[in-house]
Amino acid sequence: MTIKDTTVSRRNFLKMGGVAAGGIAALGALGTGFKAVSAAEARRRLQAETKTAYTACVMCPAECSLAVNVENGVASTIYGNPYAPLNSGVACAKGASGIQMVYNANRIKYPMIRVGERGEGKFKRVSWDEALEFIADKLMQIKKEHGAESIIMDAGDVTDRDPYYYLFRAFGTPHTVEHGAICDTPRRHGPKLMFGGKRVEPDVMRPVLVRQPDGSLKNDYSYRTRLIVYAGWNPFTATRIVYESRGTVEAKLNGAKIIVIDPALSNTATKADQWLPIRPGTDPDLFVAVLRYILENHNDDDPFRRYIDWSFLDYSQGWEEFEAEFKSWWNKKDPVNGLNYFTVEWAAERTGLEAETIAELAHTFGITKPAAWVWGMNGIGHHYNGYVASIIGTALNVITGNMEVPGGAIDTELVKSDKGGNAKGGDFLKREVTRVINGQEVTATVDELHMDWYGKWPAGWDDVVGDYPDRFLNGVKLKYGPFRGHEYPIKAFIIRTGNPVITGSNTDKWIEALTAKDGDEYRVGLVVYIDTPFLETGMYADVVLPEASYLERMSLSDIYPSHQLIYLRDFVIDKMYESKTQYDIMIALAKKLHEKGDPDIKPEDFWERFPSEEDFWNEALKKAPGRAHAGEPLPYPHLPVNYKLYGTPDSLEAGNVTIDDEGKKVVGEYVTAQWLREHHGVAVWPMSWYRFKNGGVLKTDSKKVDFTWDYDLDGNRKGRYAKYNKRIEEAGEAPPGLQDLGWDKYPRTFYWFETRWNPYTNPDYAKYRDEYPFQVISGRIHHAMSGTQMVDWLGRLTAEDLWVPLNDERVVEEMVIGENGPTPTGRKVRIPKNTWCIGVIQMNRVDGEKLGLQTGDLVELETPLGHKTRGKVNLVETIRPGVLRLPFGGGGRFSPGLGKTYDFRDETPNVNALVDPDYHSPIMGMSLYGDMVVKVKKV
Amino acid sequence: MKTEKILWGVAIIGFLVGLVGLFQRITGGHTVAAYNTYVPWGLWVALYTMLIGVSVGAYVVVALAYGFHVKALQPVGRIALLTAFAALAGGLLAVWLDLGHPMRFFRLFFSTSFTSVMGVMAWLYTLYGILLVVLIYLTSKNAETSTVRVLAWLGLVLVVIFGGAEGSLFGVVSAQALWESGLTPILFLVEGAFSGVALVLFLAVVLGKLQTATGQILRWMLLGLLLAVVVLNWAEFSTALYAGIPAKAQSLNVILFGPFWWVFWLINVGLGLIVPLLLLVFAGHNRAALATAGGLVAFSAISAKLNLVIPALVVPEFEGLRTAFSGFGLTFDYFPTSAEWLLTVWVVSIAGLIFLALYHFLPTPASEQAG
Amino acid sequence: MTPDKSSETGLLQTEESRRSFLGKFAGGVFAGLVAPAVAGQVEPAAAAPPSAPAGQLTPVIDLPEAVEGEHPQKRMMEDLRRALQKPVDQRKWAMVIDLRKCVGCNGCTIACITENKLPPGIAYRPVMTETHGTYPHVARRFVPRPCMQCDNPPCVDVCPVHATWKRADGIVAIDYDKCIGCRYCITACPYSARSFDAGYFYSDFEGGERQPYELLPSPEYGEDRVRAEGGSPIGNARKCTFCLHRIERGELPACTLTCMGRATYFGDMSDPKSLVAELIGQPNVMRLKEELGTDPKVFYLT
Ligand SMILES: Nc1nc2c(c(=O)[nH]1)N[C@H]1C(S)=C(S)[C@@H](COP(=O)(O)OP(=O)(O)OC[C@H]3O[C@@H](n4cnc5c(=O)[nH]c(N)nc54)[C@H](O)[C@@H]3O)O[C@H]1N2
Ligand SMILES: Nc1nc2c(c(=O)[nH]1)N[C@H]1C(S)=C(S)[C@@H](COP(=O)(O)OP(=O)(O)OC[C@H]3O[C@@H](n4cnc5c(=O)[nH]c(N)nc54)[C@H](O)[C@@H]3O)O[C@H]1N2
Ligand code: SF4
Ligand code: SF4
Ligand code: SF4
Ligand code: SF4
Ligand code: SF4
Ligand SMILES: [Mo]
Repeated sequence: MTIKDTTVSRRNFLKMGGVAAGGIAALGALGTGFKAVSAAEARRRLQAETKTAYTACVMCPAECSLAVNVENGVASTIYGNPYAPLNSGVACAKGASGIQMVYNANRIKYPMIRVGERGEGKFKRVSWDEALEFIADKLMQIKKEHGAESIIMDAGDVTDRDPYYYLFRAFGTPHTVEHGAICDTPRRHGPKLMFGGKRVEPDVMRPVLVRQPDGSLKNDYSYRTRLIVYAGWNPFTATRIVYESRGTVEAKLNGAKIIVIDPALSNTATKADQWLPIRPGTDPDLFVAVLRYILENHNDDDPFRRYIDWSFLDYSQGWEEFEAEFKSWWNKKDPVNGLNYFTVEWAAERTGLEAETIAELAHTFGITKPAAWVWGMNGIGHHYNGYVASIIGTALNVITGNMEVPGGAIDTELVKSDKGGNAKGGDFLKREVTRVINGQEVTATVDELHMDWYGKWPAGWDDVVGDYPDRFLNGVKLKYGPFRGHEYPIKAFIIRTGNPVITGSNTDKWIEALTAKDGDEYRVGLVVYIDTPFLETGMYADVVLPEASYLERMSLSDIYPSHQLIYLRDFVIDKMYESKTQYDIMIALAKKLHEKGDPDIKPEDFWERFPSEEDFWNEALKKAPGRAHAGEPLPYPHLPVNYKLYGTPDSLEAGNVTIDDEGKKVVGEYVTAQWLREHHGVAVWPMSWYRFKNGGVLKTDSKKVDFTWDYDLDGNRKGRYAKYNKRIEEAGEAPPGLQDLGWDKYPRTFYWFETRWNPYTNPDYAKYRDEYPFQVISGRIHHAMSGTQMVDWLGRLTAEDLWVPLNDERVVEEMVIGENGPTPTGRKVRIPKNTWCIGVIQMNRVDGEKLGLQTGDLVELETPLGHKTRGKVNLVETIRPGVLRLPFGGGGRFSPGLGKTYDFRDETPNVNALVDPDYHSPIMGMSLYGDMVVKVKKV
Repeated sequence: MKTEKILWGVAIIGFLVGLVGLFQRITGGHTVAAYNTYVPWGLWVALYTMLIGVSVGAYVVVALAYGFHVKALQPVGRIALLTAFAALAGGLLAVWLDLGHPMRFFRLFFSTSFTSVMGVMAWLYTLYGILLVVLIYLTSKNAETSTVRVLAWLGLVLVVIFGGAEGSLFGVVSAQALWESGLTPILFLVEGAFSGVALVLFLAVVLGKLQTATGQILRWMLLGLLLAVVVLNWAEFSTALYAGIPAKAQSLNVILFGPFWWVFWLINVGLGLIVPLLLLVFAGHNRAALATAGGLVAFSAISAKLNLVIPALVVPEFEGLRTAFSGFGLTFDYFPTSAEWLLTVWVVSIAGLIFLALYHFLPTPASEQAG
Repeated sequence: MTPDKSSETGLLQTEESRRSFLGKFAGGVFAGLVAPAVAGQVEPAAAAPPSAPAGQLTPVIDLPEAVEGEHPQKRMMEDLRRALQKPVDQRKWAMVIDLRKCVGCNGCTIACITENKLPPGIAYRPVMTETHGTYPHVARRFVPRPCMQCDNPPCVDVCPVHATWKRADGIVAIDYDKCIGCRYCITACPYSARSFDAGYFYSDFEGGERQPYELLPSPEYGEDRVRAEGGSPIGNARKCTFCLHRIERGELPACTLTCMGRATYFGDMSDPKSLVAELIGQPNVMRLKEELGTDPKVFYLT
């Protein structure tokens, strides 16, 4: 019954489709029922041109390994790669939706230069050459007038930024930043201080490849975990550590108990044996109470109270001092509630949980082994005193003997594969530069110009994006190090795959900083936005560059597995429009700068060294896996213990290596992109446990777990804080964050201070309790950050009472990102009621009823500082009364590049409109999104 | 004649206005309508069932007039016959346009599944349609023949079967609690008869064909049917609410107290039952009142059908579906779009034009001329 | 009538085993009236005879040997192969969804959409959220809802034109060329598992220009239809097919493959050695709306 049988080629009908589809669809709808290409024919053609490409996702930072099917050059489906144990074949909704991100009408298609004022969104299309010319001129001018340190290269959330780091470090700036800086630095603080690591996760990645007694390598699928405590960590929705989705539920079916500490019933909490709806910002209070309980009730002789596994003393130092400092608080009374610090009763008052519940939690954690105590970004990292929780959480895992035991806790940072190496351009930071300070010439290295380490935040390890607005407005003054006294403005902000206007603390402050002028000139003279979609920060850019999407570029994954593995992000489809990869952009801009006579950009560092993209990434791969060969069962029994391993799993297995006893390293055949391609895109090295033994993978100065951080080691001052304390002592002035705490330097060991903007624990804020009765927190939805809200499929998935189909009926003017930026198409689109999910304010039903509200009512939230946002309330049982939860990135989205999410910007809440712009965590300067109070007014 | 002109005028205006709806339907396919996945049937299906109901009702008058030789009804026999035909045509047109693939309607005949009530209906309609055409032809010559009589009887059997089967189209759908009931078919039949007889009454008055005796018969028929409708609905509602079958009770709640409560209370009950009842009882000898009563009943029939079709569908099979995945058609709110209303107007106008054209251009049979 | 399907991959073997449904329904007198006329009606056989699948099977994933047990994906793929070696009418495809493991990520919803190239307004596998209780005693679970592939499917009997039927392997299929789009089956499905393809495109809401992924042919039933050209399946009823086109090539259904919580299992329940048969044998199995007698082949573990 084929009425019309045409033989249009696929390419033609791809073109034709767009034009004719409307009319044809209409006829079709009436039912002509014709099929243009017969089924058999279509299939034949398809099979001829179908391939599966292995690559890595970046829809969220979990960066799963993917198997992408491509039909005739079009990415058609995205599945997990079964050969990568990290995700082991699974992919989430965001991952599967990738094609709608890649093929989105709102992609940036061409380089553009701003023609209106910043923020107006008026651009004109230019050629790459013009755009780079513009940028290069400005960069040269800034370097000449202020020094390269006036330039910030900020790679937001997507990790494969090495080419940009390489270029800008070569150009001479120490300010190369990645998203970690506004993500979770306080959360990582404990592991970093104590292990030299970052992220403690449960040992639930399965399969893991393990050396067997018979010498073979086999996949192990067994779950040994007996207990996982997740505090403010929601891996089921916030899919950062991807194996925790399947690992947690499988561990549970295998007998593990799951406890989730979260003010809201997160998706992870739905699978918990116990949900502890804690008052926001009081996790440190809970953690210290658990530690005190364990220390007070531990009894070596009672099998039911034997919480502590003293063997940790073998591989740690400083515990006595830590314990003494911790205990020194026990007899002090808290002025807020008159109770002794750190008792369960004290914690109960603060956290809003029952004292018995806390005691039970402590007992359960102490007695159940193996177990893992895990804490998250939002719950811990986004609060003023998150450090305390991070340090105590780390300590809890250590003293109970859970670190590095099968089924226990693993610091993934220490055991993931290394990569980057020379391709990161770190060497450039060691070059010497000269600056004139107070009339005197000073020569020192580039990285000593760093605005955080030698300025406000000496411990800002991953840089401090949180207070950029302040630097943009007021410039930098170095207080420590050789360049002490050096002042410089910030003149260029290159932002790549980040959207701080929405994700940084306080949207208005960012806008103020990006639009501040000196006379006619913007204070930050150059803002370049490099990205695939067009987000809010792009509205404030002078130049917008289209970066190839993750299916169109090459790089490496950045992941958090329990043992070393790495995979390739590979070219899957052709680059679309005029987009370029990071490598392309690096080389093109380097050439421009070189042409303009910049002395620091040398052909031998760039196009001569890396003639092709693959050369660049092969350089980065030379570092893999790069970890100490440690633990049990030893991955390669034939290779020396505690030597660093480099090279493909094959070559290491075969003993095809050179052993360098001096450098303590074993080098096999370097991993290359091609090797990865031939191995389903993945390299997997074997798992082992007990990797802290004899130093193993630990990266502290002592090669032990550090409980003190400024100590004497063989006559040298060592420990993570030692170096900053030396600087502070030299300068005789503490950084402002410490001054706020009344400290003159970084503490040697355990410390405690109160969080702010919390009327329930900090007496200074108690005055807000009545007038501002709600604490505001945020949570993830099935979107990645602020970057995927234009993806139709994701927009339709309800998430955790934060993102629900509660839209009004609307007829909207359609906008897409065209040649000249945001452009109305002239079409009107109808969006019927309740057919599109919008970000809402999650509120406890009882609270809502008290205020006379109903689900769907529009309210305005206002902070004591006068910051406001508005949105619809969603009255539910799934959140603690007195707490409002807002979707992260889910509302007030004013970039026209966000499709329907943009269309509802006036009735959806932007949580970062509420954050105190001058509120930074005192040690690392991190933005704090989680401590704020509001009042609620019906609109 | 003047009133006939008015009817022509109304139908032509309706036709022209409705053309916009037809145009939208043709160019926009089904994207112009509000029915979709969760509420798969909407106004057009309601319109179809309503028009079929009208046809059934009108046919009852035909059968009485020609089959059973009820003299007083013979003057309106032709109006009833043409009404039955025009309504059938309109109903089928509505459902044809409602199909996802209207051009494939022939499959209903060539590939009928007789396990499907709908498949059976296709044939029944065809037979019935042919029968109506034959009757129209025959009666326009001589309504008094035994052939006409036999055919009229036969038609009655058909009408009872498919009028009821029409109901069982819904009645057998056990997925929809509101529909799944042994009463549904009977209700359909009775409601159909009610609206059809009412329309015949209305047209008879308007076209000046109503004799006193005819008026009284129709009046009493209507009162009887009204009573039956009330009793049946009462039985249906009260048992369901009493038994408390959740989904069914929920649907009924939507009908009685949902956002469109007024459709039931004001249109169905008020305009469709109470006002006609009062008019029929207290002003039964006034032609204008009879016409009004008939018109109101016929008009509100569409709301009665809407209230059958929609409330069942707006109750989710699972509550969780409301939020599981959102999008066009994935909502349980249904309100017809302008295109749906316009096309409805068009279809009704077409039915009207068919009626008027036949009425105007076919020779008037002797039986009527006598009156 | 229909394009020559037998020449394709043998994907569409039909089976005419059909239960008389009329007895089941409380259709009443009138349905009864028409029923006798149709009893014993046999449907036209529409496709090739049952046989082993034609063409090449996708190789089973090749992972390192396991200490114990094995990768579920591998095991299920092996189960699939065994099933594919049997004649179609001896396979009985079933899906098991472990609600204890479903983390509500919706990966399956989207994977299904991309696999089957579904347009806006259609999701074969929405994941429903059920919440019970009052704070702080709140429980929530996620219930994915594919088509139940009822053994006794109410959607089939109502179809007036034989466009939908139950295959020998139990999958309820729709012939898009036969379906007239009356949507009767949609009303008849107690699980709301059927959708209407009204003819929307994603690009209708995003600039109007068809996106490349909308122009790709949908592999459903091995037919590779290009929907953008306007014909079927626009205007048709559509539903989950258990990814027939994938399983026939020895691949797991999209939702099973992608499942983040590893909560979805698939296989031949008539094979006692299969993973699904093993899971269905557990005491904590339930099915949705079992009381309707539809006999679903989607099993839930609770
Ligand atoms: N879908 C999705 N996945 C993502 C991302 C994304 O944007 N979308 N982003 C990725 C990134 S960069 C990160 S950092 C991670 C973040 O991962 P998470 O930190 O796990 O994610 P969130 O949802 O921000 O926060 C987790 C939970 O913290 C709770 N919470 C808020 N305040 C408090 C508190 O004071 N105490 C406690 N105990 N809980 C609290 C919230 O209710 C929320 O459920 O997710 C990553 N994965
Ligand atoms: N109130 C509040 N604020 C928060 C947080 C919070 O929980 N609450 N979370 C904080 C945290 S943890 C972080 S990490 C930061 C994140 O904040 P940012 O680092 O600013 O990240 P985003 O820009 O939102 O998101 C990712 C970026 O990647 C770009 N991108 C480029 N190519 C691709 C691609 O192919 N796929 C995808 N998906 N993206 C691509 C996107 O366009 C987008 O710019 O926000 C922080 N801000
Ligand atoms: S978890 Fe993140 S990286 Fe993995 S598939 Fe989902 S979006 Fe992609
Ligand atoms: S779930 Fe619905 S569509 Fe699927 S077989 Fe059963 S009745 Fe038919
Ligand atoms: S919509 Fe298609 S499959 Fe469903 S009943 Fe109608 S013709 Fe049959
Ligand atoms: S089996 Fe296939 S068609 Fe059915 S829900 Fe799963 S992915 Fe969709
Ligand atoms: S993919 Fe799996 S875990 Fe995720 S929602 Fe679907 S069934 Fe649940
Ligand atoms: Mo983050």
